[in-house]
Amino acid sequence: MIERELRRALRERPAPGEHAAGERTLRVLRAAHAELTPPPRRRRVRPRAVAVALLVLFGLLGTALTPAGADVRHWIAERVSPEPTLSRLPAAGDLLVSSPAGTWVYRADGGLRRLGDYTDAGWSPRGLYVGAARGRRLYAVEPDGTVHWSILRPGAVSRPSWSPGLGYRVAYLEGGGVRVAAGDGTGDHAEGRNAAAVTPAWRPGSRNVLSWATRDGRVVTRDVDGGTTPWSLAPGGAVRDLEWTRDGSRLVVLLSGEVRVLGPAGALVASIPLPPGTSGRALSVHPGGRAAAVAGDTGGVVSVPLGGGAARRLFDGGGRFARVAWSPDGRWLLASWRGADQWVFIRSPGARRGVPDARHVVAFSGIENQFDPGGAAGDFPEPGGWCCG
Amino acid sequence: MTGVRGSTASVRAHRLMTTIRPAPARAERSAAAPRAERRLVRDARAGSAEALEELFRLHWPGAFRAAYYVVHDATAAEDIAQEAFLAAIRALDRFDPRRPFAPWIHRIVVNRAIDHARSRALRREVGPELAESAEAPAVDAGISSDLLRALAGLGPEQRAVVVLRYLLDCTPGEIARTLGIPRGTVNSRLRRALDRLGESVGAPS
Repeated sequence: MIERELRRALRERPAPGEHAAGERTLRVLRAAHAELTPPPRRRRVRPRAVAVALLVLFGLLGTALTPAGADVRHWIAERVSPEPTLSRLPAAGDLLVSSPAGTWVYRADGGLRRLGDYTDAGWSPRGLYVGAARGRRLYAVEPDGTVHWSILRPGAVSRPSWSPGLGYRVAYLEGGGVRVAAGDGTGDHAEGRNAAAVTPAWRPGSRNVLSWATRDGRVVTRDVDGGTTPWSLAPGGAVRDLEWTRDGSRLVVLLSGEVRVLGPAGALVASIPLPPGTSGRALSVHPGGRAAAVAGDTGGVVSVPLGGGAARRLFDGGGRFARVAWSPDGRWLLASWRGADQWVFIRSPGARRGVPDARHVVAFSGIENQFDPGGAAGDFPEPGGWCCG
Repeated sequence: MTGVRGSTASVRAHRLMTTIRPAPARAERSAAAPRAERRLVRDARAGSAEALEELFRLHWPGAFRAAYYVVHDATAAEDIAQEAFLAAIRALDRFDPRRPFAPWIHRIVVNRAIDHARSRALRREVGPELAESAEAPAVDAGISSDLLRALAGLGPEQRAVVVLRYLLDCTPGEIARTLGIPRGTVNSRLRRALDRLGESVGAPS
């Protein structure tokens, strides 16, 4: 009896997540298979096949030229229009991706690993861990999904940010405050209150120096180990995003209509207006540190030279762009185009010299369905960081 | 003609996504692969994406469920089964299409799942909250759900032999070859597993 029931229980119903996992895996396999196998051999053209093809062509022309054929023509156009599917990343490194449906690691070869139901996540400096948030708990997760430690807080946690260098600190937001824990999950404590919903930014360097934005429009920079606040200032508007350059010499602050570049002591170095009609939402500083890319609620994707000079629009298709992320080698910029359910990769030959441009743009559609087949509409996956190629 | 054949295949594939194929009669089961599967392997090797997809849809439910019921973690099961299929595709040109595909993929999946379950058991720093978050099998209430819950309480080696026997319908000899253990060990693990499952649900084994 047990044996019969076991067979029935195991065989008759799918396991949890079986269908969605199958769809994701099939996409990965198709891409791997296409790379590994030779293209089908071209067949010799046969006269009979040519005749059949001509008949089909005349039939299509017939439908196209009659009113009744218009619907058929439209149907055909829909079926043959290209729908490129993202099958691999254009550069080395692993991409962290989050949506309300969960967090994934997308590998350069197209492999997709779901880490869990985390709503927000960020890489540790060498990609050994992911700082992830879900509800009231902050997690340190290994890239294979193993939870290393977690911290439970009374309020909702979000926007984890791992310190660079040795990665011994993790900052995050909880209930309007900024908190910091050690990299092993110990020593969790509050650093500041009244924080805006902006990911805190660590300054690269020997000391653990953290900058964050407050809800009243200030930028606070604090030496976490020394317990001091070297500076705090109001850059002149609500801060949308902020990030230190990799050498720690500049703090790049995004306001709605401009980018402000601050020195290590808070002095204003440059103020670069965004092109007219651009409302900045998020920024990503180029690994070389001489430029930043801005994603706009309006105005598309903009390149901002940090040493001065005018900002230039790299790409605009209408609708909202929510995040931007540079590939680790700085040659590709990924912009998430929420308004079109697309990811846009912009190749930038000048990026090595810190002068991003847009020589080559590749857009992939159907991103929502690719990460969460059959999931709720609006759960658009946003890149959370492209790490460590 | 192509369209008709394609739609038939997709209907069949959809059915197979939710239900594991009935086990072939003992007389049918041999070292040789069914003709249709041999054709799929040959075509996939020659570059046919359709053949690859059909082969995948035939074997994904078994592979994923095998991994899931050994590790009891949907994310890990996806990873294990996905990597097994990727490994299979990369080795496709070395695979003998006369041999059945299923035991090959099942061997990779089940052994990786056992390794994963063992290594997770060693990492005690994972707190109880993770165990609570493990997904519960979506089955009707009753003896089936009790059995699946009880299955999660067995050790990974015992879960593996149960999965191979009752999900994938392997014989004790095939299980022994898959896991690289003596046949007597397979029989004793199965016996003990059934006894424990029977005790858990209060039914004779």
